Amino acid sequence: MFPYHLKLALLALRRTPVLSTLMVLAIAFGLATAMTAFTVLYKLSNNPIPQKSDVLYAVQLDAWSPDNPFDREENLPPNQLTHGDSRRLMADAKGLRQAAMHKTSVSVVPADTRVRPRLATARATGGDFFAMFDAPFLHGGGWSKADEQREARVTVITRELADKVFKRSDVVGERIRFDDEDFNIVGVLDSWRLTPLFYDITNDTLDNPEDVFIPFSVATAKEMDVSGSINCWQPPATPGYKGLIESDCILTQYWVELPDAAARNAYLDYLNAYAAEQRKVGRFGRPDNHRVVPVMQWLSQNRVVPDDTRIFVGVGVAFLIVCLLNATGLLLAKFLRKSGEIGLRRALGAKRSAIFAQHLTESGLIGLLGAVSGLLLTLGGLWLLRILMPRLDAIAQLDATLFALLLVISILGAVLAGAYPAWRACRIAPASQLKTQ
Amino acid sequence: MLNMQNLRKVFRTALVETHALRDLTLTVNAGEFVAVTGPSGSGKTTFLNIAGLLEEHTDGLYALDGIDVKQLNDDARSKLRNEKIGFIFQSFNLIADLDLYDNVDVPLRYRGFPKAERKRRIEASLARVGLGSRLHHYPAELSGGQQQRVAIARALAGEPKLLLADEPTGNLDTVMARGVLELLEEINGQGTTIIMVTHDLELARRARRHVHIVDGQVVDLAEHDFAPLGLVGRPRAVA
Repeated sequence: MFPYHLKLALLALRRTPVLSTLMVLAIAFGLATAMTAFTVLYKLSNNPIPQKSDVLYAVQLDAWSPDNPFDREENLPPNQLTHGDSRRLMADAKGLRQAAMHKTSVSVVPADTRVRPRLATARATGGDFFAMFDAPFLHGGGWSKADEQREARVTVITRELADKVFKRSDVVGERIRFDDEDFNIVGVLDSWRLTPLFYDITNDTLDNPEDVFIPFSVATAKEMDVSGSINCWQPPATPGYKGLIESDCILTQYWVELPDAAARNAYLDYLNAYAAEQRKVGRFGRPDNHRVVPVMQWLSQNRVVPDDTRIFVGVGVAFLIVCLLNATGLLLAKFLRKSGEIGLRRALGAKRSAIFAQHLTESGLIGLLGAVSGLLLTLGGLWLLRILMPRLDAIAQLDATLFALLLVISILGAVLAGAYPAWRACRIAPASQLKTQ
Repeated sequence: MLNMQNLRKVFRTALVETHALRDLTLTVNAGEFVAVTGPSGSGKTTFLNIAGLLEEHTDGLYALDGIDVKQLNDDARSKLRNEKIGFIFQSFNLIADLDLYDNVDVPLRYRGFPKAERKRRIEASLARVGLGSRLHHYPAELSGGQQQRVAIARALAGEPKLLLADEPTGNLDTVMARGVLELLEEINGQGTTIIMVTHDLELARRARRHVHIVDGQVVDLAEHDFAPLGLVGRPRAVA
């Protein structure tokens, strides 16, 4: 009977084009609002590195003030490490891989003096960074531990920067000038996104990964700026860069790759032992509260999904419910207006289930049209969001899975909206309308 | 074909009980053409609705073609209605945006016939009422008489044993009404039982049997025992 019901549904839509259009639009606008909000939330709540999120850990050491906790509400340890602790943990290298890091910036000075220098975002980090975060190399690779130790002026740059500076991407072996010094390019990364950019939550997590990567030791030697958050519970003992990196101020992120639970436990033991050792020289005045936190917990702990996004989704869903209720009301009015025909069909032998199925098909068709229109409006809404808020570029995108999921949810929502009117339609008594037809 | 014994129908609201049928007893044999008359509010329509399984009776027995309908659930009643009963209404009750073919198709769809069988029946029944060449016309393109013929074709397509007609000529002029009646007589002549509710005494006279309903009870008038409506002397209730 489905083809017959579909034929009747199409006929019914043609019979009342204005009302049908209103219902489709009501569903479409409701869905578009909810879906746009949901897409943003979904992307922000996304696991940015699903293949490795259970082996990558942010390291937290509680070297904060003995008198005041870093976090009064949840007693979380500081979300960054001191420069000195980072250097020591890197040197001990107790994880499978590890990377201390901080964001910075460099001025890229082209060989052609007629071209103006450009500012590029940069990350000072360890050589393990690329393997840890599955950074995709287009050409070459990362730098070695030896490069790191001898503070070699080596760099990995992105394809986009290579294209801008050299007009090509295969630039391994070329030299590139950052500020006042040449660096040897050892690797070029293919286009790459981590959404959200979880390895540094002190900067904008909606940013792209940096354009330039240089060894952590080189950034230290060159006293490069730290872009991001620097927090101190007491002022550095001496002024200037040297004072900062020898102080108890927290300014570096630290990630470690631990393959299993045993390695994780061993690493925690190592951190506690390190803290005990530091206590002997007057640091780590607080009780042990050192942690290694996996990626998703790290995102949750640091509230990477802002509360206003959840509110936005709540408002979107509420609007969708209002629109679906509106569509339900319109469908109910439409079906009851047809009660004469429904009574006739019942008189001619239609079972209640057949009348229900017929009208649910009609609701479903309206729902499908509403869903498709809603998805088109969602694409429009996300496009508008990208135009108005370019920083949302990475998240205001519909991927195939999300698209399919939202399509199914949309149709289900619309069918649900039509279920009650269809049920009411099938309860119409066959005798009640025949005299008045 | 139709056996009603002490049938009662009571409509209840919070304040009022209305007895639409009171111990109505009537038997209609297969092949009969029965005219049902009665003043307004006498219970004719309620009788027809119950006979057509469109409403349930409150009390008493109603057996259609030997089946006690009280025992049937809604689905079974729909199936029985679809297979054994054809309806003809005063206002034709055609679906305006379906063509004649699709209008006649409606009961056949619910019967579950395959497409070829439905096509055969639709074409045959429309041809039988003289509209075989207008399969894809719409009801609005036809005269009232022609629309009633389509309704008759729709009723006949399922080859029902019982045809229930509610004022079938009520909306037609004399010439068209005569044509429709002749068609009903022809159908009855071929063995289909017909029960026709009408106000028209001329029409009722053409039936083989005339049943009069007053205050929800049947008074069966013998053949040619016609009196002006409302002036029936001593009615005699019959089985």
